[in-house]
Amino acid sequence: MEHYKITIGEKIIDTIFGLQKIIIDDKEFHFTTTEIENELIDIHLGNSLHQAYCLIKNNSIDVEVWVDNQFIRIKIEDDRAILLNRFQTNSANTQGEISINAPMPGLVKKIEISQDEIVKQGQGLVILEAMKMENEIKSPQDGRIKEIRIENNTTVEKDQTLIIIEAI
Amino acid sequence: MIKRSINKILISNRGEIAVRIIKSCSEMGIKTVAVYSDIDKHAVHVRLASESYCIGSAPARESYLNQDKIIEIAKSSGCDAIHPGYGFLSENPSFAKKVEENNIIFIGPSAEAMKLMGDKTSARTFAKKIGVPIVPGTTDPIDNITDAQRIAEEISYPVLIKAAGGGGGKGMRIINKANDLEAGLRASKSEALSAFSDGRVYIEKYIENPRHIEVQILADAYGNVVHFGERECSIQRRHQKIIEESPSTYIDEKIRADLTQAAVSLVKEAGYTNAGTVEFIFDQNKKFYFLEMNTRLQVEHPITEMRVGYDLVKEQIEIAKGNRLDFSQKDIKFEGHAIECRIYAEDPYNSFFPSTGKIINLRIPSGLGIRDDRGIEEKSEVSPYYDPLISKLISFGKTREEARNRMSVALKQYRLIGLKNNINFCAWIINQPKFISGEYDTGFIDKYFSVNELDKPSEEIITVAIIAALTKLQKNNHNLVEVSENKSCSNWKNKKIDSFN
Repeated sequence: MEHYKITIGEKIIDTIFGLQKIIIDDKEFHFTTTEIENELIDIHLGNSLHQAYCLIKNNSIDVEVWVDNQFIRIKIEDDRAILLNRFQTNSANTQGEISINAPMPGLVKKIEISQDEIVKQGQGLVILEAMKMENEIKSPQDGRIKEIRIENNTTVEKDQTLIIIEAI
Repeated sequence: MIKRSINKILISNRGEIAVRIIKSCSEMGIKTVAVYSDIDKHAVHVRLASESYCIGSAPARESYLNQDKIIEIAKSSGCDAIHPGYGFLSENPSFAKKVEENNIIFIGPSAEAMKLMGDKTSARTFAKKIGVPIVPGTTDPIDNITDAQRIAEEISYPVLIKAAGGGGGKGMRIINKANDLEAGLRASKSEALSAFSDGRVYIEKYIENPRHIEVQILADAYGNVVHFGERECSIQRRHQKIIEESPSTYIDEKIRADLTQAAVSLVKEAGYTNAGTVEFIFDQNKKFYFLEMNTRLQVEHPITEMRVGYDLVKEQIEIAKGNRLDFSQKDIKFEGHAIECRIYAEDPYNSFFPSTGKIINLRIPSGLGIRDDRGIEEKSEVSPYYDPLISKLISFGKTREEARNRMSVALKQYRLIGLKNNINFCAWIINQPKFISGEYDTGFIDKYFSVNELDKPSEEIITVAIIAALTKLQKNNHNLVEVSENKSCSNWKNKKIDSFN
């Protein structure tokens, strides 16, 4: 049995995971899994049958999960990752940086900020055109624009870094 | 009118509407030619057509909007006609003209009628002339900020900037105050240009929280015009329709008669032929205004078909052949109630951002009173290049409540894994008290929706999600070595995912 810290939204769930058994916040559940085609997994939990599909994102701890009709984003950290993150957070102190990545491939229509500009959480950064609609990407936090890695009227790939914001 | 035969049709479109058109053609014994961009080479419409030709790269400008290439393929493959579907070249009069000049039948109105009624500004002028009420605003396009400011002051804020060259909410902006006008005008023009290759926009008074109700029309070349009743399209987000129903709960028989009469006379006076939709908005006093005409088949046409039992694509082809409508208004019987939900590849949990990717698992609901029109299948890739509409789920019932319940169950049973989508959002809407009672307007989503309204996953679903994620992670051997436990307790052992391999 291994211990994991699971984060869903703002909720942190303490999990111990083993073969056909999972303990979530001290509650124990038994399950069986069956792999069917296309990497779909059938999961029997209690008396219900569910179907799930997972996409492991870039750094292998963010997982996108579809269960039946629902979609859930899960962050998984094992004991080692928890230690590592704690170390990084401590050493980074307040010098945190976040990179703003393209949520989808598209065309950069307008860059709404400039180098070194101070931005507020929720402020528009870039207008990205995809599927014929213009979508505004907003800043997730207050900060200073440290780096702009894109130009107007160029196409970007999904997950490509567009802008780096430095916490202030 | 000379009768012309149609034995082979090129469909200059993709996705669900191309599939829909191929279906009617096949029933009529007409051969079909699909065109596709290289990214669509495995698309469903390509599989279903009798023949298919690649016409360019993924951006629409280089493929589905490439007029010369499309006409060239229609000629070389021996097509008598082109069906444009909706979007792309469907409302482009110069394309319609070019098609006819090449002795190919354009399945739709004449280029002249399309120009008159499809152009929002000239249609407004025309409607005004024959006495159909229009929303206050300009009847000419606006190209500079000074004129825009003057007109906006005249009709008073809020105003709406709209694309003259097309619909679907593209290029549309609500402007609440003078300060926002210039930026709105810029955004609107650029969006209109990229969507319709036409950056002209105009301004009209924004009627707050109207109802959006439209009338389906069919007209042949002999002056016969019939209507197929109305469709209520007030459930919209960012001016894009999400749910439509027919009939509307908002109007009574008297208003319905006035509304359909206004639509019929507009079409008759304009000398318009083939299928078309006259859109109206209703203010809160149930007074209606002509909004625009869509000179093509519409996305939501199936709800009309479900009620009247006519195949609109077949009728379009018969009219294009030069045949008379073989029925009159009194032959059209309206039955029951129909609802359509548009399934979009967009994420309601994340500001409705478009989502792209591969469909891993697809289970389409079916049964009495359920229809699903789609251009996707399992393993289809949804790309960022085209409209995010991936499927249209339609329900029909003897009563509105029966249709609504059928839709509710069908949405629950709809399974679309691998691509974020708005199915839960549609389910939320049709189970809202104000939707159930039919008391809604175009402000419905802004007024009632927030992401917190959506069903939160239950504890059971979360548990399953965690099990799935950890199983997958361990299977991928991400350095997460497990401690051994008793492994021999399952009959499913052979197929079971083993955490230790």
